[in-house]
Amino acid sequence: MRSPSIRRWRGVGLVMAAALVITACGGGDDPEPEPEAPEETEPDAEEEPTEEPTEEEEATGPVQGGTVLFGDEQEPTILNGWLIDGNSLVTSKVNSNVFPGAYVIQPDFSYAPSLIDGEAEFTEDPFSVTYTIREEAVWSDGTPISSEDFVFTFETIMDMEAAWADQITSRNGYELISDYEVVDEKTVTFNFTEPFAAWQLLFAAILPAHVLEGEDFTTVMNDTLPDVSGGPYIFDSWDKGTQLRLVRNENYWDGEVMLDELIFRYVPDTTTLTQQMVGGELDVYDPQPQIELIDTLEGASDQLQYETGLGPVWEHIDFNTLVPGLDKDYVRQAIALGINREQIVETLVRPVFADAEVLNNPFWMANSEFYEPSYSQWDYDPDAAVALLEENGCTRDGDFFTCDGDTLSFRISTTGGNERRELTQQLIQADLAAIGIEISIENDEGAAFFERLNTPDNCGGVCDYDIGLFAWVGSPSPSGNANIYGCDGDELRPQNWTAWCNEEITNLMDEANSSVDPQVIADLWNEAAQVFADGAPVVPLFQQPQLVAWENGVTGPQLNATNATNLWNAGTWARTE
Amino acid sequence: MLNYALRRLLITIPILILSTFLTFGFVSSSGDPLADLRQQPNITQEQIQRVREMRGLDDPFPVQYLRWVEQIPQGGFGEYLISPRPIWPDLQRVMGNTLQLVVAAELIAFAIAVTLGAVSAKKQYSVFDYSTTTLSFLGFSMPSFWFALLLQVGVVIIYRWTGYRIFPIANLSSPNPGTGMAFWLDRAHHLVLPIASLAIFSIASYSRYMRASMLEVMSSDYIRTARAKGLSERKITTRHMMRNALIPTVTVAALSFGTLISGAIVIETVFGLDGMGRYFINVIGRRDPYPIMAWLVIVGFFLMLANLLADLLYGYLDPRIRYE
Repeated sequence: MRSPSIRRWRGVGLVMAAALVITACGGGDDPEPEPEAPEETEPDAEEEPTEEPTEEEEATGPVQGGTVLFGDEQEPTILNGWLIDGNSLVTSKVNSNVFPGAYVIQPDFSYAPSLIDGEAEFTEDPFSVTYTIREEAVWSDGTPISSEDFVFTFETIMDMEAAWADQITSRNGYELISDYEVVDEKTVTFNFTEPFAAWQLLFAAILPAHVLEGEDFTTVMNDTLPDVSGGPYIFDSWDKGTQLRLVRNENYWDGEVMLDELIFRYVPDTTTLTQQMVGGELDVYDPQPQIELIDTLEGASDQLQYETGLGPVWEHIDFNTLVPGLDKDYVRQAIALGINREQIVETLVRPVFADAEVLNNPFWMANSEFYEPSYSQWDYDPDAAVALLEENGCTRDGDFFTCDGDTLSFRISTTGGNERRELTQQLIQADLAAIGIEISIENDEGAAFFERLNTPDNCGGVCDYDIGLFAWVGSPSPSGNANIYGCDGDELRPQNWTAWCNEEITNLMDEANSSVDPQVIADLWNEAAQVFADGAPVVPLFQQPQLVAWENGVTGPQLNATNATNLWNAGTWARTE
Repeated sequence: MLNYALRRLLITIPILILSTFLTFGFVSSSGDPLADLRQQPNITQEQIQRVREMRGLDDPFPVQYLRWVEQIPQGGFGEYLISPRPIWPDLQRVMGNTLQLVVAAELIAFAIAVTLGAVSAKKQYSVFDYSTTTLSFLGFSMPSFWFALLLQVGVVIIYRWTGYRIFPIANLSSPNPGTGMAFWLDRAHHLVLPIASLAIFSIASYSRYMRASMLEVMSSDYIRTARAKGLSERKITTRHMMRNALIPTVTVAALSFGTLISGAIVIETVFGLDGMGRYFINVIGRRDPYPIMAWLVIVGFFLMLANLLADLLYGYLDPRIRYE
């Protein structure tokens, strides 16, 4: 079945295309048909198209060689993912295939040892982690990947005197390492000043010491990467604005790499990328899923396949608890009860991912085995919301309630231009009007909205927002939430923009962050989630769905909606006969 | 004429200074360029503050402007805000790509439009004239991004039916474009759809001007005189009619440079071309004032250059015009 949009424009498109052939042939070299050539032997999929695979062809297995063209909407700013400017998922897509890591986050949010030989060993008191590197692990030039590389990576991140000291994105966890001991070439122990719950996130990418020693880390990986790799691919070239090319690491230590090349093609427009996928110019891509996009992919189901799932980016509303009215627990609770989150998911998310559910925990994503729906106590119940306000002495003289002299009238703000968020706002506005709370929409274009969000100290009192609608990126470890929702005494932690200070939850989060037993950590975060839900300074809405699509001539892509990105297993991708 | 050109070029300097000062004011007051960093939980307030201090973002606007001006002669527009990378190499690259697109689109549009307009005028009220008039209005009213999408969908449909890609849907080059002539053929192949999308409006516009201008010239006394002298119709058309009719068309074409650049922003985004337009969208998104300023200076310079070129062309086309 072809997509409706393609059907609609078929006739017009043909006329236009024919006209162009007449007027523009002189400028180009018409591609020659190559009906018999199997795709996997063609290094340039865009240049010389092949026929669509038949059922017989699809049934055959992966073969050695070939190129996969991966389309991406964003391009890295720089290739150094350790520095602020390179801290993005698009950089990770490249880096994760070049720099080996101790663990790789799996699609189910679990950790799987990668560079290390089995699980790392750790002691609880004092807390230390010992990494034993796989014996066969070598850089592409044959140099063993060694303890020295772990130490070099650690020292590069923690060198506070270096020129790049201010540019390092995060030292979270590394700053707790007091010293290290190189046991032998393949074994290294790091000792911590206190336990660090998210220790498996450390050393997610290891730098080659023998190549980068003495280099200026500020500039050495801006436009290029080292010509040695510990991952399945070696960096080859980056034609900025067009493409980045990785080639097979012949010395890869974790199985044979099938593809000759993995090429990232950068086009900033999702519609164009989708046309390229359907038009056979790309092999794999992972755009933000939209309803129309799914329709188009469905229309080309004879040629490509796709997988959708829940991603780590979770949408929520944050209350500024310093705003009169929102400083009252029962008002926030009434708002939580009055928002039909199920309808929001049904309207905006399920058309893209049918199994989507309301997110009921701000710390564990629904994909996690530790997820407990603490926010289900605020399932949509407008009558209960009105009753809660009335029980607390709020009066409704006109359309809206007044509580302790404060009329319940608030602004909701988000990143203007984001269609899904704007629709979410409208649904919330209608829901809350029905329970006597007035909501006005006041957005800023794009990232300008984030200028409003801050801690009160940094915006001279009460920051200029009432209810903020935005997203955080979740992680297999909720440890980062301590900075977002915690406070020390009366002092709010750096990203506690809600200004909601609760000692109990802070203690629970800190205790979880200094524990290493996964079950203890899970229980503590769930306990914190329950306290959090009771206070309702935040209402989680849903996890954004994610999508990866690939053409039938490629095997291996699998959705990984974590920071590991959908390129997490690109070393196993192959073309088929 | 040389004196005139030099004088015009010198005038551009104070205009550029004034416009950059005003633009810098608008850009730097449009928001916090580090706002994006606050969305990243791993980046601390201290780090953000250090970047702010290091780049003097808390300094008064005139101080920031002077600091930016100082960077220009030292290495071409200085460095990006967050990471110390020079801006010029990126600008140089995208400028070349956009010039290829815009110049090719302009030349092709001009050539087609002049021909269509002249023939339409010569065959006034014929089927050809009515057809080009209709198509011109279609070209006027059709947004370039929409036409671009139509072309892309057309290519996809042909591919889905036949398995052949007649033109690339996006990008400036193939994954393996080759070198030398093969590279340029590949580039030309990739630019066919973007040029068609960008040129369509210009063709519609210029052909109308050309037709109207030709009709005016055709009824003038000197054409009648030329015929009376026994000149051939071909000579009358090319030497007397078209040359004189070109003056307003050239003016419109030169002054349309700004329109072409704004069109390029859309077209480069739709076709994923690594040009000035896409670069501008990118740096606007990052709200980095330095590359935005660099972009505006370059585009401003080219706009003024295009105006100068138009003035100089008058003199060539109409020897009665003298520069003072």
